[in-house]
Amino acid sequence: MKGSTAVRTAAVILALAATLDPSYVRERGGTARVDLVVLPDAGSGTRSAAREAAERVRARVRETLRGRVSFDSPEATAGVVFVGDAVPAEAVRGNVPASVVVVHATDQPNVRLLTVSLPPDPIAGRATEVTAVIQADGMAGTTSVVTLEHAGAVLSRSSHRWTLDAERAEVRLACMAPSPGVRALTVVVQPLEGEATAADNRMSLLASADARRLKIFVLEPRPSWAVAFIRRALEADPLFDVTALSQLSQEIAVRAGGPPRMLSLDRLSPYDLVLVGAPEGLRAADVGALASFARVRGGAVVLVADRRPSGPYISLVPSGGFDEVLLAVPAVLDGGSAGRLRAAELVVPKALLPGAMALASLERNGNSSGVVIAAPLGDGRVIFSGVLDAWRYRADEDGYAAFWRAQVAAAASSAPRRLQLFVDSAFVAPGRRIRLRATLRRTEFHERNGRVDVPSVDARIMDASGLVQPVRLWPDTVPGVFEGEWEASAPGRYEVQVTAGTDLVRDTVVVVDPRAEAGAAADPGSPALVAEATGGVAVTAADLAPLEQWLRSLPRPRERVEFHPARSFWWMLATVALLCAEWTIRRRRAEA
Amino acid sequence: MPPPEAAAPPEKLLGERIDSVARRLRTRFVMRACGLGALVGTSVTALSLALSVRGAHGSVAAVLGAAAAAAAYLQPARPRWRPAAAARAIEAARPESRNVVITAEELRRMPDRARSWIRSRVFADAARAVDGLAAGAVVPLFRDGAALGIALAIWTIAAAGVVQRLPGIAWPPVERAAPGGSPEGERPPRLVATVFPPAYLAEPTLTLENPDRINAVRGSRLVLSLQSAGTDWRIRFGSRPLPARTENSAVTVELPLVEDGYLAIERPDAASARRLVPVTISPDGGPAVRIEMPARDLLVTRATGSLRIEASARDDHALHSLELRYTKVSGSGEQFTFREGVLALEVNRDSAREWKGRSTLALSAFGLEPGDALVYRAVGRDGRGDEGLGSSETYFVEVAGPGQAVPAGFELPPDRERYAFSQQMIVLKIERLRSRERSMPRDTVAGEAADIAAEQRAVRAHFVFLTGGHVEDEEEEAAHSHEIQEGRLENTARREIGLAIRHMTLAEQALVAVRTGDALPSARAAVGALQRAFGRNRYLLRTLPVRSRLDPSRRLSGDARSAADWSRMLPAPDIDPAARAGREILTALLDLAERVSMDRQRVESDALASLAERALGVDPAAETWTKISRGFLSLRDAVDAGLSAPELMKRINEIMPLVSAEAQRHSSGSWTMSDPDHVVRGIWAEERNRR
Repeated sequence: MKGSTAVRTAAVILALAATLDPSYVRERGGTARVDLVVLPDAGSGTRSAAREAAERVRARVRETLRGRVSFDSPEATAGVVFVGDAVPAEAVRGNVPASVVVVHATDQPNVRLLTVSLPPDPIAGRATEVTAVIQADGMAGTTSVVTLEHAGAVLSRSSHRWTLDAERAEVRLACMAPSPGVRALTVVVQPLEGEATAADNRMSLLASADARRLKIFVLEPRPSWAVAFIRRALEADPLFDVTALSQLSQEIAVRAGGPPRMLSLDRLSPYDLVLVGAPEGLRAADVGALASFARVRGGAVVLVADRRPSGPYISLVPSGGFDEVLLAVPAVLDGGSAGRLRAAELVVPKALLPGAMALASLERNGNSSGVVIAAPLGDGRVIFSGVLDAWRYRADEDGYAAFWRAQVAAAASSAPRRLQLFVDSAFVAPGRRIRLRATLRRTEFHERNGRVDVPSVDARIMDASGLVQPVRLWPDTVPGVFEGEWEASAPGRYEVQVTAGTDLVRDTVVVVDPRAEAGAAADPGSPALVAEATGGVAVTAADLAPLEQWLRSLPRPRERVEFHPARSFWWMLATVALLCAEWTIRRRRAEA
Repeated sequence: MPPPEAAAPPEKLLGERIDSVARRLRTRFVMRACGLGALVGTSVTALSLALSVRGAHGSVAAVLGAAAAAAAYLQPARPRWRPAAAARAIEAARPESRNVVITAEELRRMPDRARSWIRSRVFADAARAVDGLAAGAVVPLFRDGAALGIALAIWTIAAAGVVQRLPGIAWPPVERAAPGGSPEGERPPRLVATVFPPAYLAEPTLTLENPDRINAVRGSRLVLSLQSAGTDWRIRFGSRPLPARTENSAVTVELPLVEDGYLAIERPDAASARRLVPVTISPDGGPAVRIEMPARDLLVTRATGSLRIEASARDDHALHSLELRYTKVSGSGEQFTFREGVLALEVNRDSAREWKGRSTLALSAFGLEPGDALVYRAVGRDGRGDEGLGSSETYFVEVAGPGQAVPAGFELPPDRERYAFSQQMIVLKIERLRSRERSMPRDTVAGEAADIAAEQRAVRAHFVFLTGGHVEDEEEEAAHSHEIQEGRLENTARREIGLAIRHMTLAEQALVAVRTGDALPSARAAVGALQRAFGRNRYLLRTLPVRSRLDPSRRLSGDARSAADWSRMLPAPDIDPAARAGREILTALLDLAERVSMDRQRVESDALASLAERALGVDPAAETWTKISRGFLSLRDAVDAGLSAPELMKRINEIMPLVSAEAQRHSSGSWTMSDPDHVVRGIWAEERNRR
């Protein structure tokens, strides 16, 4: 009797408790939210192979990590899984660990062409260099020959001998656009015996050259032989559009080409480079204008001394003092590829300040001292020449004129134009995404009351039929820089045009051609680099175990859960079980 | 067992004889057929050469003709080597057999015509008749074989083109393109160039056949002859047509060779036949003359003793004379007198091109007084007379003037050092000597001081000559220069230069006296005066052993009040013609590569010939441009021959590096990728400056 009563009582208690529905709160591990990003194939621009690999990753997670990992959550993520071979740098977030599933992986010996690049806005008739980055795996002891071709004609050739099993090299290919216009070029790494594939050995690019001239302003606060002969060398070269002002006395000047009457940022902005002779004659205001010209306009200022430096312009020279050197026999200064200078009287900077580099050096007592030096200043640069009497040896075959033409051309061509347009690849296969970048020069900004206004920038692409497609540009973190993307669809020739404000227009040509070669599908080092930098893993699609391990190790968010035991099935089961037990006890007693 | 059926021995013997003769008959007819074929083949070959049939077509036609003729001969002749014919031949050779052989042969073929014993009898008689008969005697083959051999030899000779290669044969070459290229069927005639060097060289005439290039001395005469050419051939020298005369089917032009260029041999409207021959003219250089000894300027105390002089001369062709010329300079200030003369040298001729001469000058014979100088040089001459004159560097022997100190063994510094003195450098050297002189022997100090004094003297001499000569009182002269140059801008610079000269003199005197402490202030004062004179703080002055004349046009003059601003016209930029041509040709070559790769447009040989001519016109004397020109002609020939696109591209790639290098030769540096970290480094520099 007592037993059945106790059981009945327990059942009643459970039932009554259920009606009250008690609850308590406890913490537990939640679900890790992970982004799964399918990358386009760098070679074809398509995502098919990557999508298949992504599906395999999803299936694997569903099987083994259900509840622990979830993909495609809009909430903040614990990690990113990239599926593809080329991880764009901008897709990587520094504080989020990223893993990469490489789709096309091979461990066979191979040489691949990773990138090719051409300096922006090359000028027709001037030599230029195409830079190719190539990588070899398992090819130590062999030599790769790299050629630059146009329609099968070899324009340039270079070679690199591989000394390591895994090695990356930068190869420069000299060439020249002999006339203005657009030409399709192809960089080819000649296949070596035993290479896994030759499909990644070719890459196309489009070279668009124009016939612009570099605008140079030559300023002489007093006549100076040191700069006069440089000016003459520049005036004789059609690459340069020279304007000159030589101040003979306070009242009298010799002008050529309509120089500005006074120095200011606005008046100097049209020039790419200002060449100053006898710079000790510059006033503080002049030096300030030149500094603004370099800093804001991004122009180059070349200071050519003919005596020991003095005066306000020293603040522009990236040196901590000077030594004066007189030589009985003229010394030859090595200017690298630009040529050589010969001089007997020199002002040698004692120590180059950080950021400065030597353009021509003097070898003395086993030491090399920069005599012609350059340093960045804001967006521009400053060059200082301490070769005081090199002009006396200009008739020698060392190349006085060639040296200065090369240095001035290099510095002036680096000065940005008011609006610049870069296209990451202008000769692509259909389906490939093209990135555009428009850069406004700082002189185009409007500063008012401490606020900087940047003119609006628009981009559009027009095909041969005149159909115009707008391209959405997004501002970069750097003021004045805008980026956008466009997917090349139908083959053809497209004109890309960027406008800023009302009067600035820059355009370029993009050719979409199925014959365009894309080189290596991806940089084989980038997945490992991304993974290592962010704390992820790089795996192949064939072996996802390390990825699973990494996903399992991701920290899961702690969840606070309100728990209602009376709503549990087990609660009901216990109640029913007690009632059944009580009924069974009573039935047995009645039978007895 | 039946007895073996064996032919009766007479029948067998007869059969063998008849068959043997029949085989020889067949051989004879085959040989005759081949001979006939060879004759026909020879005829066809000769005809095809005469008609200039291209390639292997002529050979194929000849072989086919020969085969057809042989077959045509053999086909009807087949009955003539059968056994019946053989029997007739035997009967002809053995007429005494009285047709028994013919009868036996018929019975062999038709045994039913007679009974067996008759057959046996006939066979036996026939066998006896042919017994001992040699088949060679019945059908001799020697004559036919010899005829066949001769016919084949004639054909071989004709097909190999031996005949037309013999001298005097006017036929064009077979399968041989002339240098410079022209396709088959457009073969230019034989080109014979005869170069007649200038008469004074007395060199032999040079005859060139089909030359790749013509090199000649300037002033030569070229006679160019196109052998066996039609009247429509034209010859140009560059763009200038040359008047031609035609004699005996040869076109001849004459041309005086005075400048580089190229000869274009062409027919109107036949670019594929154009042929280019670069002509390089080398000037007849003048003799290179050197004084080997003493090869330095001398300063002597007295004009006594002798001076041994050795000279050498070298000419690119031949020397005609070598002599020593001198000038005696007497006087001082503005009262110089000059007397010139010539001395013969004792000449030793190593060869016609290299001579050496020596002489000994007795200084006393020139009557040199203190302060006088003897200036001398060696002069060589080649066959051109005064036009081919070469002179050595001029040296002088100076007799020290009154009061002029002459350090022992003094001579002007050797070449490399005497061109790089500056007053600033002299100050520096005196400072260095002073810092070391305490620890140096006196003699060494004196020696080094004397060296510096010599340098000081050289610098001073330059200024002395620059200002028109030394004056008795330099300071006074400089102070009153404005009075002397009345009407001219007051020239304070001249006064300062005068002061500088005076200080240099004091420095030199102190150095000669080994008083470096006195020399240094004077040297510095000279620098200061020069700085004031020119507004510069250092000068590198070249001293020359020859006193240069003053150029009045370079002296400062004019009215300061008329000075005003000046707008200078910028000179037109000059681009190197070779670089411009290189870029244009490179553009054309790139376009050509596009056309070849796309195979859309036909590449015209006329354009290629024009490019070849354009390239050669840039610099006919340059090996690179000649190669480029030949490359274009080779490309033209390949186009005319219908070669495939890869073959054309191969030829383009042979030219491309040469053209590309020429186009880039005068490019201003290289357009390289800008520093990607430039902006960051610029910000860094700005931050540094701010601090």
